[in-house]
Amino acid sequence: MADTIANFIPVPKPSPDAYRPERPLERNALVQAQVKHFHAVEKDLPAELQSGIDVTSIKTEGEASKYIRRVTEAIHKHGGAGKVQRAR
Amino acid sequence: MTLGQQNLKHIVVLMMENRSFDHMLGSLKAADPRINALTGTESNPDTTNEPAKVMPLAAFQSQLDPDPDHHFPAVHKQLYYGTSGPPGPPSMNGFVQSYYDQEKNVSHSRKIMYYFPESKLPVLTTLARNYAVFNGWFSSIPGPTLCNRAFAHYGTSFGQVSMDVFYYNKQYLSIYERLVNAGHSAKVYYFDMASSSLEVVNLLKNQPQLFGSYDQFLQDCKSGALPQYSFVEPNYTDHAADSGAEQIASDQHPDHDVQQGEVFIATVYNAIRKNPDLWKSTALLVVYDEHGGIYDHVHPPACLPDGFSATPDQTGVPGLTFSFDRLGIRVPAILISPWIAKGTVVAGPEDPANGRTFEHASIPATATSFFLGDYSPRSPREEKAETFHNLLSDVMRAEADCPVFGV
Repeated sequence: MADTIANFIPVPKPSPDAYRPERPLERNALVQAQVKHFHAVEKDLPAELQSGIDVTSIKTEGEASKYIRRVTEAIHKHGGAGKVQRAR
Repeated sequence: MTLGQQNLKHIVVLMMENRSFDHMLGSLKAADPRINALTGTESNPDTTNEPAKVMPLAAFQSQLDPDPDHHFPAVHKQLYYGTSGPPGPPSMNGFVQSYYDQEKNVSHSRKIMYYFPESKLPVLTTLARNYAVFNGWFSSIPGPTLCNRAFAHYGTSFGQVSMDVFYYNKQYLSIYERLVNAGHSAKVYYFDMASSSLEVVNLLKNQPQLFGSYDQFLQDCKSGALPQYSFVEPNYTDHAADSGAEQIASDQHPDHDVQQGEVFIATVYNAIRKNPDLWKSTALLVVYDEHGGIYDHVHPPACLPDGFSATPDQTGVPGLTFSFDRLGIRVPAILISPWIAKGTVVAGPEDPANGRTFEHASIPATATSFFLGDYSPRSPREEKAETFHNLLSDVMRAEADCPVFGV
């Protein structure tokens, strides 16, 4: 469909050097906050699901994403303490 | 109810990160004078008291590094520099001064005034000019990401103006819980496990069944399995995928690459656009959570107080208690549907007679109003928020009249 209509808009891709997993975490307040929040949530998970990672050792965005992935997987394994209740 | 509303079955919200209206769409006034964008003469004083004018020199990356400060005290300075502060009107004159505070570099601080020419953002500007662009959509709080995103999920931040937010088991349910409790369907789609979800960590912890991945979103669009309400999160980090492929952050948060965000927006749009049944029954809102410390020229208006207050210790501004009675800085927002006339401009504060003011509480307000009707309890801000489903008309545009992106 896309190639046959008149108003097809090409979208440029970013340059190859846009990928920067070594970007210092201190340069992105948002991901810093995300790590902090996941660390707080992780403390409430069962011990066997906790990562044991010292979050103060996380210095780059790539390292932060590995930590976030590990805790997110643990959260899903844990399955959640509550369940959404359907209306009667 | 219009035909567009009668056909509406799905609302999808894509919330991007940290760019102001003028930074992304400031060029569009030249193409359409109804759009409340830049004239090119706007300026802020730098720390040598020289005017730093807006310039169409915004770069995709490596320009706004470090991340411009957008916590409450910095935004307060951006708004009120040179004035005695609220309740008086903001000057909108402190953006360069605020950015200077971070690096003490005059030349660098002036870049906070830069905006993108239309040609550099073909996705966002095409959507803005082809569907409905809002002249008056504001972030909910003059502060950072997480408290603003909370308004999109709960209709309030429960009194928070910071990034320290845990909102589970509060007096107001999230829009997802409201809908699912009533037998409707709703989901938060985060990009992948390594990017995960931002602002609803406790919701993720307690209700993981409400979450899905971006790959699942694409599959759900293709198979027609999209929930009635979806909230899509971009990729927040540069990281390697399971395959080893490079995943470039697509949230457009400085200093992430803006072009990758364009690709992401286009991919979300195309996923809906290319399923004919989904396309005619879906409204897609593309909106930014807050301005990220970047210049916008429109004064944020006052708003209904939210029933909470933040003390000076919480705002970080000596002597300032914040009553959630004024909005944050304006952000890009575009509503997309084939039931919206090409070139719709939703008037904002520049039109005192007909203008409408939207904020992130408009998101749960719209989903609640459309899918649930009367519902309580909700925050005072959400109860009074403007809703946007009423922008869908009686006329469905032809497929050939609606753009498709090549990604």
